[in-house]
Amino acid sequence: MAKLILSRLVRLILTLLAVSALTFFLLKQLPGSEIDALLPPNAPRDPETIALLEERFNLNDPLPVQYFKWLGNAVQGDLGTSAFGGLSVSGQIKDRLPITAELAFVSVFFALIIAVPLGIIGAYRPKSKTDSIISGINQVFISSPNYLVAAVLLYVLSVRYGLLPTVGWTRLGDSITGNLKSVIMPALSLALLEIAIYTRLIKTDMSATLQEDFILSARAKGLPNRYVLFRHALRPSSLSLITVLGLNLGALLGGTVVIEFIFGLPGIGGKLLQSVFSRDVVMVQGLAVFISMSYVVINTLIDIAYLVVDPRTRSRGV
Amino acid sequence: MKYKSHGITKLLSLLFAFTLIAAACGGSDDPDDNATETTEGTAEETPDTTSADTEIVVDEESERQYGGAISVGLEAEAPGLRPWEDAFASPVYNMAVTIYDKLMEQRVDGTYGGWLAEDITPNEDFTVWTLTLREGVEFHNGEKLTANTLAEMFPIHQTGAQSSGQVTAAGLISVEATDDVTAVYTLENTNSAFPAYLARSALGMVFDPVAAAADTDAYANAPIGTGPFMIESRDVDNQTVVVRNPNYWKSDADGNQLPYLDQITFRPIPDEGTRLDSLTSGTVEVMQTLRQGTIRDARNSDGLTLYEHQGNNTGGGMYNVAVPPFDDVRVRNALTLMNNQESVIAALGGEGISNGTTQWFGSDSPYWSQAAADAWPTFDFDAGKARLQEYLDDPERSDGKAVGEKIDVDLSCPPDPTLIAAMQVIEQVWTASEQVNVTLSQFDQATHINTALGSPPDFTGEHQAHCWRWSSEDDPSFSLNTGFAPPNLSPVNFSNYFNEEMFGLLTQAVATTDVAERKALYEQVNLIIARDTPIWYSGGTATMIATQPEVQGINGWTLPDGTVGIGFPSAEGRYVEVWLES
Repeated sequence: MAKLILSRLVRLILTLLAVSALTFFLLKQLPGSEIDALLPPNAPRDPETIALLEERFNLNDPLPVQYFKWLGNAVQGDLGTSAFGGLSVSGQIKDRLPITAELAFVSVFFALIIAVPLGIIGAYRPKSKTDSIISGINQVFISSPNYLVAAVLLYVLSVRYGLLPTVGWTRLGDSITGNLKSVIMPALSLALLEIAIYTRLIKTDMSATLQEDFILSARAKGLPNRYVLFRHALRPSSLSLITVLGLNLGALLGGTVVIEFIFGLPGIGGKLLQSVFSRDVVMVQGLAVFISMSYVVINTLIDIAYLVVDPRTRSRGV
Repeated sequence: MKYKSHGITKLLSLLFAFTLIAAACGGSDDPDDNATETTEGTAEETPDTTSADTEIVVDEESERQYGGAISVGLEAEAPGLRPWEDAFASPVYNMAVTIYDKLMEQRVDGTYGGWLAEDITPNEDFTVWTLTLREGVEFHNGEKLTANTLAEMFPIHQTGAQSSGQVTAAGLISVEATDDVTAVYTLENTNSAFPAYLARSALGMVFDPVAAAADTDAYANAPIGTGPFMIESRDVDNQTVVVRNPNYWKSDADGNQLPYLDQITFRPIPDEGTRLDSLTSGTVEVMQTLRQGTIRDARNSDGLTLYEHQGNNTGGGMYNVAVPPFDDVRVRNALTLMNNQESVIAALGGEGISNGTTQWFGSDSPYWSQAAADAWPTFDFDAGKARLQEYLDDPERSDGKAVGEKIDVDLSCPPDPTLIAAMQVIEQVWTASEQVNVTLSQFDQATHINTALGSPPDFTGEHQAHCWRWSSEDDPSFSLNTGFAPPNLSPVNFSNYFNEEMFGLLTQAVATTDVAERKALYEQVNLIIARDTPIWYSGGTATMIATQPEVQGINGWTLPDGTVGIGFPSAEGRYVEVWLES
């Protein structure tokens, strides 16, 4: 386990260095400067004003010096302050991560509580009428992009019946009910596709597991079906699910840009998109580093989860 | 049999998916939803949405009511709310103007009157302006507004990302307080349009310079102004809450202290559809849009009041006249003649909403000119072909190609779906002439601007035919005098077009305050633009503020001298006189 964590730590450092350097130097290659992006399009650009602003925003050093200055601060936990609005990158992550994380976890929760039973039923009674219905529903979910689901939910739950507010985010600390109202529609919009994917994964893996000798042996002992399915078959059938779950969770933490856009949520993804368009190098760099870190950390946790879920992987190594 | 059953289930699920799509795209299926009772009590199957359509009038009959709170859905958010530092695009302006008062305000007739300023007087050559401040005005933190405040704001303006360019453009070299209420603004050059700068956010919005200098980053999200509302809480990109300023200085015509509302919550809702859904579902009471498609959808919704505005801002583009073949007026004339405005407006979703544009000014502007409208080369495909053939047949043609060979045009727009559709319309017409090879390109907004901006020393840019927006409600000199100044001195002369005669007319126009004289000068400018076509126009940018019917007072707010304000240009609302009708 210690070896695993150490190797992931080395990988994390290399990834973060590569991501931050690539983000910084690639953004700097775009036409025009950050000062141009900061100024109104029609503002006069006399050299004195430009020099003054470059001085203010520490943009007059050569690029490698600018990068290493940023890196020096970043390793001390200061990811910089954006010239746009004077927002601190760490502050933005702190404000926005709870929203993105809650949205990600609630959508995964919705997806799992629906997908796991459906997948098990599908595997237990393949080609039955129930399985056909589940497959049919999955077909709908998998072919419905999340922006479409969002539009339908908005129309039905907000415009038509006025049950939920269309937009806005109430923080958990401000009101639990308000927070629930904020999260339901965006989380459901994200969850439907995941339900379809997770159901299929569980069904496929469990169908294979149910053919294994230890399952036959458990059944031969007269153990009830529910016990066999949930206690013996589910764990070894969850490896693919855990892998995909990790990748999905990483992607969700990296930002659910479309859903944040539609529901006007102040999450990480929306900020990243805004910052790319406004050429806010400091913010893009900081958020990219954070997102990369999330991916690596989550996937390390997933690797550890393999060891817990499937004892066979402990002896094989991951 | 099971296989068959599976297929049916899939078919049903596909049908269900189709139904989902139809539900998302369609409107109400209940015919009663679009019905409304008229005064006679009969039912009509038309939406009962009311369009105020630009006519700016003061409602003197309704009785104003105090109290209540509204939510306003905005297209965008600003990361900070510092006028000198952060860009206040139209959506953000709605929010900023509740917190900050400006020194001057624009009237509905395009002239400027005092807001925090009681008076502003120029010297003979418009290089020194003496401003008299209103007395008894306090900031939200209790600090008094004095002329010294304006003097202390100036050093911050000189280094602000938004204001430093304005300081340069206005030629402002100093601001001095001569007593508690008198500030003297000294300019480098003659500028009769200077009061207009004090009606803009960057130089006009008054902030507390001491607090701003103490912690500029903190000020960004805890702004202090003298405006009708004070910041209560701010969660960037989620919601900003402002509450009534109990010490606000301004009163209505009957002497009642303003504002009427207790609270306003501003919510950024970037998605156009969700913003309109938020209004129709009651999540917000007011929304703004800069999109013609949303105006069309709002017109088809029930029970809304729409405040639409055309104004001066127009879509279109520019030719980089520093680059062949656009350095030849025949090419620019020809391509402009082959620009089918009507189809472009339709592609932009503005059919029946936006008007075709022929000059720098919209038809409601005091500077609009019939002569300029008549001179503009409107769509004439055959005339365009003939004009371009003159160039193609010229052995001395500037692009160095052989006689008769097609010209190459790179047409670039930001990647907005409606802009792409409009660009494709232009491409099709130009290509149909069989005289033009068109390449389409798209870059994000910042790259699009920077490509046209170019780099020192000549700022020529790398663009050819480039989508752009022209003009605004500001004083014409703001955009024209820098936009058509010598390109090596003015990087924002994006088309690189310079005409000495035209620049002379523009310079004369900032040496007089006489509206008739200025109109005559700008007419000449528009005639030169129509002749040399360094730019082209498509249609006016229709904008809209839409409200629930109980929200009153968006229209017809007044300046302290009782004159009527400019209303809601570019969907920039003023909330100082807004009230809720019970």
